Amino acid sequence: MAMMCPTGICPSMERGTRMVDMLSHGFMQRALVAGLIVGTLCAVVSVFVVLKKLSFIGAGISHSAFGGMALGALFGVNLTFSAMAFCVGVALLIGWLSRRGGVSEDVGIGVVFSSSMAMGVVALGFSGDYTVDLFSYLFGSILAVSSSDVALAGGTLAVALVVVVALFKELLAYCFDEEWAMVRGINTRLIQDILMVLLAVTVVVSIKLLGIILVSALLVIPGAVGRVLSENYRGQMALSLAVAQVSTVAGLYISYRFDVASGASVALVAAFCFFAAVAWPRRRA
Amino acid sequence: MSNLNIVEVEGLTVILGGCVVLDDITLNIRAGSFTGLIGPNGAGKSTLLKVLLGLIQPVRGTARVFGHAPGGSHGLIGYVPQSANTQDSGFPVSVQDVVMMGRLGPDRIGGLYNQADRDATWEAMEGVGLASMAKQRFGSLSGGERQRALIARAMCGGPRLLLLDEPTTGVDVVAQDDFYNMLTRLKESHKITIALVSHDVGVITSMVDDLICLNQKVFLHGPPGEALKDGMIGKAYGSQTEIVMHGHDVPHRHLPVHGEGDENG
Repeated sequence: MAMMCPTGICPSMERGTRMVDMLSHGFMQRALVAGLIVGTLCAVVSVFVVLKKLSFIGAGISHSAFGGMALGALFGVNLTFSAMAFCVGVALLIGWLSRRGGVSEDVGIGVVFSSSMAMGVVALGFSGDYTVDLFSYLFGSILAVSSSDVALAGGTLAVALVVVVALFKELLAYCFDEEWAMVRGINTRLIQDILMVLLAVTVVVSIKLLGIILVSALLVIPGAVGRVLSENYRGQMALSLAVAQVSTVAGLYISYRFDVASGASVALVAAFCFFAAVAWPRRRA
Repeated sequence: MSNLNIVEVEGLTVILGGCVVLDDITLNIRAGSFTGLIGPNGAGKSTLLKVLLGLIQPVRGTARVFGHAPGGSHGLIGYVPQSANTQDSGFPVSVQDVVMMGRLGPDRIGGLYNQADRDATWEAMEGVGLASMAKQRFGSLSGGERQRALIARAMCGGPRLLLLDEPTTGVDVVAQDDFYNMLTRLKESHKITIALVSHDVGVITSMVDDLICLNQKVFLHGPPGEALKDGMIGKAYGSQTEIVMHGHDVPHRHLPVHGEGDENG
């Protein structure tokens, strides 16, 4: 059975329902490779997002990417790089606000997140002649992934893995007991900033595939499933990787097969995994 | 125990949120001593510990730990925070993982744990009687066992000064006895100095070499036998409590002076 692309973007394309048919298309090969890379990246970062309870920060940073992209469009800068710079800035700003005190962390995130989105809308308004496929950026698209996106995601993953492996025990101690880590002389401010930057770059390289709105699903759910099902962080990491990869591959297939936004299909598969994990009978020591 | 002071605090004033928490206090902690810090809620006991750890900056006065400004002696200080401050019970780490964190420090950022770390971790767990629970999830331990694990974490780094912030909160009376005996044993075997914040006035006064009673200011400072004379505890606690002496050198319960039979033990 074959079907025509209902979006009209690729009117001459015929879609087979088998995975092998899916992989016969160059754009799907790129999307799948990017998906596996992004899934791994999100899974690793997700563990720390869940351990340190940073879910709302992840959502805040991902939404602020919209502001970064819109500013890039306004000034004619590459959207990915403008979003990267903007998100890293926002991530560090959120980290600074949480350390500074005076306002609670969630208030700080809420202000940064909404003002970034507002800035994005204003910037898009000023860049009137710029046409952006907003839907793709908000919800992800398998057609949007280019070879350079795959290369960027691969490079980011390599750097992120080196950082996480090198600082794993410090990151774990920071998540477990920040004050105590500080007493031991660990530079918790630097560790927090590193984690924030990791979050920001993960968001940006995931946007093409998962979308600004839905990237936070893979920043939270894989680590959350691991946390629900595992008694230790090693198991949590392994399960997080498994859930992220299954969600990405299955989500991309659903996106291809039914022509829905890839971010939505990946997020839904991940959410299914989460609810299945919560419902799974388990025994806690 | 020597007369050398490893902690020296002089004219220290701390203001938090516009309130004076510590007001011009001067005290010291002798090397090799077991010092108890007591006082009513909000007296500034935990704040003093946090000043010594470099977590809170005073507005006036100085504090020296091992001759350095607070925060400059990370490897020499072991810290056991209040149990309530240490994470949720679902955090996915084993007892061994937690204790091994005691090997971390500013001089060894990055890399993996080595055999020396694992040996020190095992020794620390044996020292507090938790070796058999090494693989158990930290959050599954009882309150007393958790505190012992956190002491093992502090001891794992080979400290010379152990600071404990209300370590027996939420621990039952029998476990408290074991806990204090274990601390005394660790102090002797590792030749360390211990300073402990506690609300258990009766128990603590029977265990320590020196007693410091705080309530913004220092009300008592010295060996408990001398310090408890003259009703200073009552003054520090706002005349609500008094120490009842059982025989000689055995100070015990504190009673509400105006209470009607509601003894605290």
